Amino acid sequence: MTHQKPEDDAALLARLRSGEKAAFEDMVRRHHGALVRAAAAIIGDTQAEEVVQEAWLAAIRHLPGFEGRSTLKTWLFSIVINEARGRLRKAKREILMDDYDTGNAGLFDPDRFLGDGHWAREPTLWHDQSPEALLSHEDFLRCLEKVLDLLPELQRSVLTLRDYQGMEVETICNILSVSASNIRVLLHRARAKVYAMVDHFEETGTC
Amino acid sequence: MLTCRELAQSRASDYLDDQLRWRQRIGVRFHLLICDHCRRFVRQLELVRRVLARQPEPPAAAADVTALAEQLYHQHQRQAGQRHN
Repeated sequence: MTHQKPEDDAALLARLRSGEKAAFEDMVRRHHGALVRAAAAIIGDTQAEEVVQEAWLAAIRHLPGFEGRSTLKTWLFSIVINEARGRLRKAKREILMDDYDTGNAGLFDPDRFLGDGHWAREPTLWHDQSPEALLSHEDFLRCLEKVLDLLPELQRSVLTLRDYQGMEVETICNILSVSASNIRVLLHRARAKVYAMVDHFEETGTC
Repeated sequence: MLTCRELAQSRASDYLDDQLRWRQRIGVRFHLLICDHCRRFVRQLELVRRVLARQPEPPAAAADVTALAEQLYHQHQRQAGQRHN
């Protein structure tokens, strides 16, 4: 059964509780991809699927007690995040101090600026002025995926949680046990790399 | 006075996240008032953030969804059975 508009949580919950089989498929279809992405942001790609599987089972266990005070999506996310954090603590996170990166801020090409701090090559005008315009190019989607894959793990985590999931910086500090100032540095570095890719794409149509 | 390099390299991202102290924030705003290039740069960086926010969700493979949904359904039915016994 497909829905023109996503049905509201209350209706889906009622169907789940009454044990309607299709409701389980609707719920998984609607949320699984985003949950895996959130888990991957915290614990890495290799364990993400497993974490989300565990989280789904926990969600079903706790479904009778779920009172709908938050949205179903938020509730599912919180279960996934808890599960992923638990594992992260166990793994004692050998994360990758080199995520903080080798020395120099290296954000934008230093040649872009003159000695006095002015732009040497100013930002050029981009043809695509909206996310929709950019995301409509298939080549761009491939470039985006590539640049995100190449980010150091912690940079990718922070970027995903902040810019894709829209979490507050403070929440991300708590989830990843990283200080706010480090989160800001990681975010800046990650965005700068994506910016450089978009800039290059706008200039050449490739990445 | 804030230079273009400082703005781009160490303020713009925090500015968009509203993570600057007020004095730094005013410095950025003032710079943006007088500098077309940095205005364009900040707009582009903001566009990058909006692109990231709207990336398509990774599709769950159809087979996985069905198998997982099935598993969850059966667990739910088992639990319901236990509660009623």
